[in-house]
Amino acid sequence: MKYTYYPGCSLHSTAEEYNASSQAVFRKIGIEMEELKDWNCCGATSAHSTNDYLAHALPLRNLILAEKQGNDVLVPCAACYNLLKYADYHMRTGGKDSEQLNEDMQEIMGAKYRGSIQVRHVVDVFAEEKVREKISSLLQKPLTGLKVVPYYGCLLTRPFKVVAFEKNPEQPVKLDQLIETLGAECVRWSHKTECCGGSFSISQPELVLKLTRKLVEAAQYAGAEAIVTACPLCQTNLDTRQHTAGGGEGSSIPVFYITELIGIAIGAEGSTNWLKKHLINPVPLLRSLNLLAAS
Amino acid sequence: MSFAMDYYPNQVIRYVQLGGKDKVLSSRSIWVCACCKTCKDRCPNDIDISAVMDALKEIASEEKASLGDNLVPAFHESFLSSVQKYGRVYEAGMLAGFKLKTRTYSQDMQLGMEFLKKRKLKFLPEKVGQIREIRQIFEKAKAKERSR
Repeated sequence: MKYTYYPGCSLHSTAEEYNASSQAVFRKIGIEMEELKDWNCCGATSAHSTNDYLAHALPLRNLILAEKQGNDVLVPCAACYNLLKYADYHMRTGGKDSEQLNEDMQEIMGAKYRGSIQVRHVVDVFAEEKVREKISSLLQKPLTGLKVVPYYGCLLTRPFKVVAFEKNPEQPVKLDQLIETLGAECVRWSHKTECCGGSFSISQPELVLKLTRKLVEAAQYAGAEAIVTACPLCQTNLDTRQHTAGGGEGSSIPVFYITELIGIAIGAEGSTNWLKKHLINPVPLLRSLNLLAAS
Repeated sequence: MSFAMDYYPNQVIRYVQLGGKDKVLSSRSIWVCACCKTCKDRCPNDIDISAVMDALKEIASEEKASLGDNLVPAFHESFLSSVQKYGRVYEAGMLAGFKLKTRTYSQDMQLGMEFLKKRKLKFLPEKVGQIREIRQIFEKAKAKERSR
């Protein structure tokens, strides 16, 4: 199986470790990926908050490019995934509006979207039985003793009609299963799908501080030593707003991308470089459990 | 996020039903809605509250001289001007634009330093090859706005 890989803007900047760990893990598992050529920003929260047309047209350009390239699109960023999926849904169900939009794209790019590809999130692909079996068979360092909570946030699960890849989006389980596959302890908690505040980290930091504090407290209350995410906004918000530079206080717990944990467990290359990007240093926790070699 | 709202989401919907246009368009609620879509998925009447919020933001930006919040709209503007220019978000430039626009220089200064230390921000923008296509998408979007 080969995928067209859509990294998105965050993965080329603040979330570089999510990009590097995703690529390293897929390479190790043997799933081939080719980056989408000349991809553009999905428009994120800013487009859908202020201009309905942009919110559909920006991701649609990527879908049309992906269709030319030929394979299903694989997306690690939960926000990009959500918006690409939304555009795909709009084109399949949007009636006259979507037809007009397709005409516009024909005029702009010389091509229309035919809906011949699927948009997939990395968690959904990892959770496929075959892929999970492959991960199991590659385990070099089971994450024994690592207690983590799976944090799905908003954009992977809502709106469930459009984006959900879970049977019950109020109680998603695919990240849980992956964590267990890695040999870590998946801790039950109350805030799996609560919101971290997303892009408000820049415009309304005090609101994000409140939301992230609640999330971290809930994770600690449940007995977790770390949080696992599959979204660059969730990871960045939780990581930076616990740090004193971001207004955080008291005890703090590391926030991992799921791909980082898979990478460490299956011995994918580069894990120490990924972890250096975190503001809350996860190395002491991993060392205390003998999950990282002492350097 | 309702703790930061002047009207709760159900009140916003009620004002829309009753024609309280001015109240909702000048509210803070529409801007601090984080678009988490929890209300949409749980609404017993199947109202797409987050889509209503988005529509209200769009109308407020077009019609209102003063908005219920200035920081969030300024962020969206900085973000989209970066996308229009490069086709991708140039985070360092977008942040600088936002700080200049809102004069919030000192806020998160320390965090910015940490980001630079960790090299989490890139100094140079990435640009889409066919930037002409992005510009045309933005032109069409503007034209749609005007034709309403």
